[in-house]
Amino acid sequence: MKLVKRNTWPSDPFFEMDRLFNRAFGSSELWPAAFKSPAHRDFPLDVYGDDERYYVTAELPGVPRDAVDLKVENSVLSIMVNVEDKTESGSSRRTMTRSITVGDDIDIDGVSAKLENGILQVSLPKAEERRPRKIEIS
Amino acid sequence: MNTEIATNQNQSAEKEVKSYRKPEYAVHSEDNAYRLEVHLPGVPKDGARITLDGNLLNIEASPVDLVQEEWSTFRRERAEGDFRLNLELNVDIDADEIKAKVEDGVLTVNLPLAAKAAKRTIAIQ
Repeated sequence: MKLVKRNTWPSDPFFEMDRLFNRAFGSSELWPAAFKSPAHRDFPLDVYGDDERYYVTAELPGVPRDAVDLKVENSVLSIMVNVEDKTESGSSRRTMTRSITVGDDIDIDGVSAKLENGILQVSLPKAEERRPRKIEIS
Repeated sequence: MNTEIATNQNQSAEKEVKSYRKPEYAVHSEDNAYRLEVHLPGVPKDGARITLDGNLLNIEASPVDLVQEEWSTFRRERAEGDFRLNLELNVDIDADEIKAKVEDGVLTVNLPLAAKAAKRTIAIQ
């Protein structure tokens, strides 16, 4: 028997809206740039897992390390990005936030993250007592 | 029976066709040059191939796959596949002076205008 705690990842409140919107009106690629940047709220995010960890992967091209704020609070992982774009005509600020519920089975002290080639990868270890265990038959 | 086998073979051949995704990009105009910025998340420093064929600039790049096969997927928003961008340049570019670098998943290509297309100040006699 297999006990599955959850098979879908509870999402941020805008995810489903964005998805429906994009499905109804086409991908945001077709929209004028003014709709997307510079305050484009979103960045794409993947969530994977194995027996020991969850892995959250986000696309953040051109975002320096010190512009990313990560927080785990009340079982919610928040990724906040605050970048300043300098152009000839001055600077503008971009703020993007994504939050996802990671469940209460996370070992918060063990959470680690790396940002490489514009990809942020957050590794969230599952708490020891919540990991799946193989039971030997005697 | 024979036709069935034939269609199956065709299907598997179709699957092997590589799919590409178009990256987001921006072109900035500078003095005597254009600066092209292409978002290539996951592409390492030496991972982009740039070719200029006539006035067609072609950029291809493969992102590093961080996902291991035994992982199970809970949510998938990121597109997969290699990046490909084709841009038609409508000005003459000095092809020998094109400089490009990939940093933090962003490709920056400096496209200097060829001498005859460059901005010139004309002295009044």
